Amino acid sequence: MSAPSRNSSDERSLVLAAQGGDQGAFGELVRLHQKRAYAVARAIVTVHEDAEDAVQEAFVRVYQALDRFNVDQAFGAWLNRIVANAALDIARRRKVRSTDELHETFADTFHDPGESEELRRRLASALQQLPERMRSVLVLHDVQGFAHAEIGDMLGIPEGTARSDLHHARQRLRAMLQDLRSE
Amino acid sequence: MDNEVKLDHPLPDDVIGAARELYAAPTSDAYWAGLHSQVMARVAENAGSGRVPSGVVAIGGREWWQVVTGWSRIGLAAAAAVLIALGALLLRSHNQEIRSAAAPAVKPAPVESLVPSGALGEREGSDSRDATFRDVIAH
Repeated sequence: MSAPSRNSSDERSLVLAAQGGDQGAFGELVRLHQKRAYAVARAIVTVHEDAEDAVQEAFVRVYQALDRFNVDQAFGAWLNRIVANAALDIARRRKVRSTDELHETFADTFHDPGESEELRRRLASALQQLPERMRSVLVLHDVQGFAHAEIGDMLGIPEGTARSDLHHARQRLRAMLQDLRSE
Repeated sequence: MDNEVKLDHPLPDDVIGAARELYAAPTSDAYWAGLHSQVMARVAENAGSGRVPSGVVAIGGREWWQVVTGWSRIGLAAAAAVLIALGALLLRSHNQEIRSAAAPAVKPAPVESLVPSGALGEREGSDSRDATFRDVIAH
């Protein structure tokens, strides 16, 4: 996942200014990181609206905890952990969401007539059948492009577990889509 | 890329493509400007309540010390109730001990046992001696 287009000293200055109470600086940090935050949240909660909620909640938490952030650390990594936690909280609250509803959300929001509707439908269903953490790891790695270490850090799991989850998620996904592939 | 990823077969491109489409973020600048505004509005709402100081965690919308203060009030009330009950029990037990210890002492004893035999006579004798002494002094 590419980092926001701003060097670390600029970001450090923004963080320091935000820590000093400059809401404009905080707003700039939000602007720089909101797309990345959305990608993290979306990989975990799956549904667009929930990802939006997670992003908003995460930035509120970041603002509230800004005083204890060490500016020598990477702000993006810290933010990603908070976004992931906010998304996991939402995912736990909304665990009961039917596959049909999920597919509707996917299809209605981001439908591309050029793609195979059947593959999309089956993939949405298969992803929904994966355990939450496996799905998050797979989407964060294969779709959003995060590295294993970043994923482990975000989800609070060892890097090796993230690798293992990715392997098993791919295996299961292949098995679930096997009949589609052979058609 | 790491060794495990090299050993693990990636998903087919069309599956990855479909997944990317399913998880695609909105592309409109207006959408991101709107989300930014929503975030900042929520931050402004929460700015009034102040930031959480270093090293602390907010719990259920309240700061930890508010939660702990709530617990400590309940704990203190419970401890006070236990102490009062314990005190009442100890007092009651103590009173019972005093009563049972004093019972033989307050039991009405026969008059004879309280006034030794001859004591009254001795007292009478003492009175006569006093009267004799007064007579001698008077004369």
